[in-house]
Amino acid sequence: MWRATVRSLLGRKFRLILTSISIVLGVSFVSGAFILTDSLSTRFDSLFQSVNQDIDVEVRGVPVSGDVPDLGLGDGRVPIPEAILDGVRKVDGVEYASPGVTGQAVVVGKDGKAIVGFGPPALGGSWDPDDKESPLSLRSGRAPNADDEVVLTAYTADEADVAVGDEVRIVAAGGTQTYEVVGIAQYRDGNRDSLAGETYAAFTIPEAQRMLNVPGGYSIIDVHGSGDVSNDQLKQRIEQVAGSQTEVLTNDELNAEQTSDIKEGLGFFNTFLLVFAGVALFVGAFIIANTFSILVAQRTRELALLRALGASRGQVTRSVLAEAFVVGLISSAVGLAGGVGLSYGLQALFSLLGQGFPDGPTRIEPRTIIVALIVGVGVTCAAALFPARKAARIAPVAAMRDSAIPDKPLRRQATVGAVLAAAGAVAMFIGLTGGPLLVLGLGVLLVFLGVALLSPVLSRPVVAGLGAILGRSITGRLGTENASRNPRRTAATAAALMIGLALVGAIGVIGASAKTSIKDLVQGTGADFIIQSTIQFGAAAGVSDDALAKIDDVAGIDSISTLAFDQAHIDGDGTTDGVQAANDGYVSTILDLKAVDGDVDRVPDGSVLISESSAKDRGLAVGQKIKLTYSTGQGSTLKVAGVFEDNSLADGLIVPIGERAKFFDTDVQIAFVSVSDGADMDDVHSRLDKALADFPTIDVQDQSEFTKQQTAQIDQVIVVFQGFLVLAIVIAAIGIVNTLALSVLERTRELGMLRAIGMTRKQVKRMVRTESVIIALFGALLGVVVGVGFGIALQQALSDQGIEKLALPWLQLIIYVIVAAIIGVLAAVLPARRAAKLNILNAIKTE
Amino acid sequence: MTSPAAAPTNAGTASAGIAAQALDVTKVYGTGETQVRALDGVSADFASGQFHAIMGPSGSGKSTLMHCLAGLDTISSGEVLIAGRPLSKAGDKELTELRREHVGFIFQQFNLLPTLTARENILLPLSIAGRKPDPKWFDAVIDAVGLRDRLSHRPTELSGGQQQRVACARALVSRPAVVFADEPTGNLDSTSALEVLELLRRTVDEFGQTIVMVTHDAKAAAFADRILFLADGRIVDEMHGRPTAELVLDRMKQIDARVAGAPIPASEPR
Repeated sequence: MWRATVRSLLGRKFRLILTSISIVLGVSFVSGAFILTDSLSTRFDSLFQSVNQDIDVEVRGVPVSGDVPDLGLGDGRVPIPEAILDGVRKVDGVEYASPGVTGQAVVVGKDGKAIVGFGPPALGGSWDPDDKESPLSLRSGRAPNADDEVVLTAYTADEADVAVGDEVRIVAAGGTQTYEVVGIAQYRDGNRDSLAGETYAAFTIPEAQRMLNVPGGYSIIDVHGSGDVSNDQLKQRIEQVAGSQTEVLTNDELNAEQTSDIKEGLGFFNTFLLVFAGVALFVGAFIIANTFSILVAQRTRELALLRALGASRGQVTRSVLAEAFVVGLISSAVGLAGGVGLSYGLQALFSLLGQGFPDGPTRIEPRTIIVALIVGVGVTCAAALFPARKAARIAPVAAMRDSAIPDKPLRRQATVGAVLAAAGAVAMFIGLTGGPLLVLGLGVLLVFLGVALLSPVLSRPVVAGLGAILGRSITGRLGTENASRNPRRTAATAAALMIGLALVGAIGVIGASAKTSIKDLVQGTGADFIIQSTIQFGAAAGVSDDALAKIDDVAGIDSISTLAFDQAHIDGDGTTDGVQAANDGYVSTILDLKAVDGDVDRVPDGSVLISESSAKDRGLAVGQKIKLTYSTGQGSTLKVAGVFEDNSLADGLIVPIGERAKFFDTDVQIAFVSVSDGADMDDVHSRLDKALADFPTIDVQDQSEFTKQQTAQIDQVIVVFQGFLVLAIVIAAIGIVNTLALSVLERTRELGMLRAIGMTRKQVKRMVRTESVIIALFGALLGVVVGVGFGIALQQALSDQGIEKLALPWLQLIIYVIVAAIIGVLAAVLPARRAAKLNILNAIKTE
Repeated sequence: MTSPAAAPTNAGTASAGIAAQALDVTKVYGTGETQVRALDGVSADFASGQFHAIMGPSGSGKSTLMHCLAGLDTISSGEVLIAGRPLSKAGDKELTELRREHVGFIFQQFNLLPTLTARENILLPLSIAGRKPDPKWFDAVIDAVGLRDRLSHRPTELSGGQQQRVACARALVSRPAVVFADEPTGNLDSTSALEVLELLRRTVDEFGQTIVMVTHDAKAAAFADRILFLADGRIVDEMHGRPTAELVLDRMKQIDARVAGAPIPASEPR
C-alpha cells in the first residue's frame, strides 16, 4: 500500500503542489509569528540585561495608587525624598548610588510638530552627573550643566532634525520649554541610537525634577554594590533605610519585570498574528478537503481495484491519509522556511510603519518547529479525513463499473449545515453578549462550516442567476453549466473565498458604523472646535491650564466646555466606575443628558450626576451623599443632584470640573469651543492656532478635521486587518485555480469535441473564465452576506460602546465583489490556457 | 465523377462538385529509425452528395486520413482541400473557422454535452458560430433523425442510438460541405447501428449531403456509394455502386492476404 501511495503522490505532482501552497502559507504565518515574537523577546531580554548591567539594586517609589496603570513613564509613582539618597549611600556594601528622575517628555521637531508615535514612548530623564550607571554615553558634545541645556539620544536628534548647538522645544508636565542641545547620546550597548524607537531627552537633575514633576525628589536610585555582598543582601540592607514609600529591586527582579512587560505585549502581538494564521489554515483546509475529494473520485477505479485485490477499508483510508501526511509534512517544512522569511518581512514592514524593533539574532525555538509540523500535518490530515473515509466506502465492484459512487443527497448535508450555522449563531450571540471570546470564535467557525455545508444547495439557484447575467453567449452558457455541474466542488471552492471576504466585510461594516457613529457624535456636540493633545498618554496628554487660559482670551469665543477623566471608588465598596469632571457648559451643550430624576443640566460644586445604570447597581437616588475616592487616593463627598439616562458619552459619574485637581491627570483632557454668533470660523481658527503656538502638543480641529482624523485612524485599522486577510483570499484563489485545472482535465474529451466542431481557442478560454468568475462571485456573494451579518451582530453588541449607528459600506462591498470577479479572471488564466492548447486529436481519443 | 446538383451545402460553386480532396498527402510521425509513414502519397476526391467509406485494417492510416481531411491534424506534404480551400498553410484560427463552417463531425463516443438538452446539443455548432438556425432546415433535420419528441431531454435520458442520432443532427445542422463520421456505429447495438446508418444514407439521398465515414465494419461500409481501402498508408483498392457486405468482406480478405507479406507498421501512432 505504501508504494501505491508514493506512486500516487508522484503521479499528481502539479495538483499536490497547488494544494500544498495553501498549507505552506498557513504554516509560514504560524511559524513566522512565533519566530518573530521569540526573536524580539530574546532581543529585548539581552537589551535589558545590558542596559541594567551596572545596576545591582534599584530603589523606586511605590505606585501612587493601585488604580493607576504604570505606562512606563515613571510618573505613576511616589517620588523618593532626597534624604533617602544619603541614607542609601551610607549603607555598607554600596559602592555608589546615582539618583535619577524619569518621566514623559515630548520633543518638538524643527518643523514645530511633536515627535509622537503610536508605540514607543517619549521619555525624559536626568543626566547622570557621575556618568557611572547610565546606560547612555555621550556620542558628541557634553553633559547638561544648566537648566536650559539638554542632551538628546541620537535617534531623537535625528527625528527632531537638530544637532549640538541647536535649540529644541520640549513639552512635559512642567510645560513647554526651549533648551539648547549640548550633547548627543547613545546607548553604551552596541552604540545604539535608540533601544526600540523611543525618544529620550536628558536634563540636569533640578530641571528634570521641575519639568517631569518630581519636586524635591527622585524617581529612582540606582545602586552599584562593592561586590562584597550578594544583590539580595544589599537589597535587604537598603530596604532598612529606604522607608515605606519605596520599593527595592535587585538586578534580576528588574530584568524580569521589564521582560515580562515586553513579553505580555509580544504575547498580544503573537495572538493577533496567530488569529490570521488560523484563518489562513481554515481556508486552506477547504482547499485540501476539496483536492482530496477530487483525487479520490478520480481514483475510484484504482481504489476499487485495490479493494478487489484484497485491501481492507482501513488500508484504503490509511493510504489516502498517508498521502495527506506526506503532503502535510513537506508543506510544513517549506512553510517553516517561509516563516523565517515572513518574520524578516514583518520586521521590515513594521520599521517602515515607524515601529522599530531592536536588531539581533533570529530565534527558531524547538517549540516553533513542533507547532509548525503539528499544525501543518494535522490540518492536512484532518481535511483529508472525510475524503479518505469516502474512499474506503468504494465497493470493490466499482472497479468493473464505470459509474462513480453516487453522492449522498444534498438535502442531508444542507440540514447538517443549517443546524451548524444556527448553533454558530447562538454561540456568537453568547460570545457577543459578554461571554468568553473563545465562544465567539467558535461561533464564527461553526457559522462558516454551516454555510459551507449549505452552499451546495444554494449554488444551483445562485449560479443560475449569475449565469443569466454573465452567460448570454454560448461560452458563458457552457461555463455556467460547468460551474453548476458539481455543486459540492463549486461550493467548497467558493466557501474558501467566502471566509476571507466575510471577515473583510464584517470589518468593513464595523468600520463604516464606527465612522458614521463618530461623525454623528461630533455633529451632535454642536461644538465648533475640538482642542486636545496629540499625545495619547501621560502628563502631556492633556490641555494644560495655561493653554486653557490662552484659549479663553481668544476673541470670538462664546463658551468652552471642558472635560477630565479618572476612575473612582464609591463609598469604598470596592467597585470602580468611570468619572468625568465636567463644567456646566459641557454638561448642558455637549452631553445633552436626559433626566431620569433631579436636575441634570449642570453640576454645581459639591454635587454629582450619576447614570441610571450606575445608580441602579448601587441603589443610589437623588439627594443621597456619596464618598468618591479617585485613583490618586484623594476624594470628596458629593450629593447626588441628578440621575441621567446612559448614553454613549456618559455612563458613569459626572462631577464638577474642579474635582480634577484630585485626579491622577489633573489637566483637562479635551475642550470643546463654541464660537460667538457672527464670528468668522476661519478667523477664530487661526486666532486659536496663534494663541496655542507655545503648546506644540495641543491641536485645534474643527468638526470636519476632527472627524477626518478619527475616521483616518479607523481606516488605518481596517487596512491592517484587511492586509492580513489578503493571505486568506490568496489561498482561496489558489483553490479556484485547482478546481479549474481539474475541471479542464475531467472535460478533456468535451473540450476536444467543442474544438473539433468549431469552437475557437478564445471561446474555450472565455468558457473557462466564466466558470471561474461564477465560482468567485458565488463565494464573494456568500462572503458579503455572511460578513454583513457578522458586522451587524458586532455593531449591535458594541452599540453601547460608541458604535451606535449601523452603516453598510455599500461601495466597499461592491468593490469586494468586483475584486472577487477579477480574482476569478486571474485564477482562470493558466487553466484556460491549458484548455485552449489541448491537442484536439488526443482530447477526442481520451477515454 | 458526377454528383447530384441538389446538395444544399455551403460548398459554394468553386469546388465544382468536389467536397473534399486529398492531393498526394503524406503524414510522417517521428524521425530517423522510428519514422512511421502513416499516409504515403494519398490522393482522393470526395464527390459532393455521395456517401464515402474508408476501410482498412488497424494501422492502415484510415483514421489519420480522416483527421487530415477534416483539418484536425496537419499533413507532412501534399495538400488537402475542403470546399475548395487549401488547408496545409492554414493556422489554427482558419482551421477552426473552416471546421465550424464547412465540416460536420460524428464521433464513435457520441460526445454530447451532458449539461445541454438534445435541442441545445444539436444547435451547439450554430451557437458557437453565433448564428441563428434556419427554422425550415432545423425542422427537416429533426424529422430526418426522428427526435422531435426528445428535444428537451438530456443525453443521460436518451438511449445510445438516440444519442448518436442527436450527434448526427448536430453534424447536419450547419449544412456543412462534408460530414466526417469516425466509426459512428462502433458503440451501438446492431439495431441502433442500422438506424443510424439508414439515417446517414437518407441524408445523402434526400439532402444531397456529402459523408465520409471511417469504419472497419463491412455491413456499415455497404451503405456507402464508394469504398476506399487503405493499407500501409496507401489507397490500395476502391469499390463503387453499393456492393453487398459479403462482397466488401471478400475484398477485405484479399487485401489482408496481399498485405500479409509486406512489412506492417508496428501500430498506428496515437
